[in-house]
Amino acid sequence: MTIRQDALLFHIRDKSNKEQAFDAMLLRNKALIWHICSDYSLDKAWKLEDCMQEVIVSLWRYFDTFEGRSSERTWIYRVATNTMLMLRRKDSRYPSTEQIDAHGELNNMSSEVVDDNCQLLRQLINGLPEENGIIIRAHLDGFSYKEIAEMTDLTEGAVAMRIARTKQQLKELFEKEIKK
Amino acid sequence: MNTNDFDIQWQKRMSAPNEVQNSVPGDDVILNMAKKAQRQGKTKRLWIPYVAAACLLSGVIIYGLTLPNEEVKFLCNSGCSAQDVIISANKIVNQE
Repeated sequence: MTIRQDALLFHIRDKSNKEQAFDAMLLRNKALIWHICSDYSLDKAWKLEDCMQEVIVSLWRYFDTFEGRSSERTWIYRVATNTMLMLRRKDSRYPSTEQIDAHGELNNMSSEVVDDNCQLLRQLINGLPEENGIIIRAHLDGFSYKEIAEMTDLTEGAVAMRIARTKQQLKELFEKEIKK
Repeated sequence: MNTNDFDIQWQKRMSAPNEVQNSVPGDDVILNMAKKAQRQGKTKRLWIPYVAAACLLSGVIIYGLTLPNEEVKFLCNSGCSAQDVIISANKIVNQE
């Protein structure tokens, strides 16, 4: 546990400083939270600020439950991702997450025009089954296998295998879409 | 450069967390959002005992309680779920 994390836990337990500790934690991690919100609101179904507010509400709600077993960054990533997935499930404007079927075929591409190949990759990631989507996003966002294992309750070996397989699947789909 | 290449797009996506830096809201906006979240939390804590007490006073059977739609809507607008209220009310009953 880092010194900063230790200090954060101390402040959470000291109720008088809880709000200041929370504010400081948000400011330290605002870029990470903003990135997660922008990554999940790909189809512009929501305003980014609204997503950010929802994530901050969730972080505050679960702030007391942070026990320092994972890093502050990992904990925030997990809460923010779960919040965005929950919003996505609730919002019918968002395309289904089950876009890639068992045979690896893209079933239901979003009606939004794919304007470049970067956007195509994002849409393919968006169409992954939920758990694979979380793992691949966390990997792309720079989390280690160990940290992703903590987030998903998988072993590091399983995480590595999922990443390799999913990346290969994405590559094949990407090339197939490009050829169309 | 072949922009169709999967690996190039993969690398681009890996740098996305750094690219958002310029568009991140300012500290004042973030702190306002935090205050709003904290206020919402307090509203929730305030309303639960009130609604639970109202349920008890009006003789509603707490176990298996089904709240009327309007009341559920009111609770949701106040920032707490019906389940939260039932749990809270159950705790009060168990304490007595």
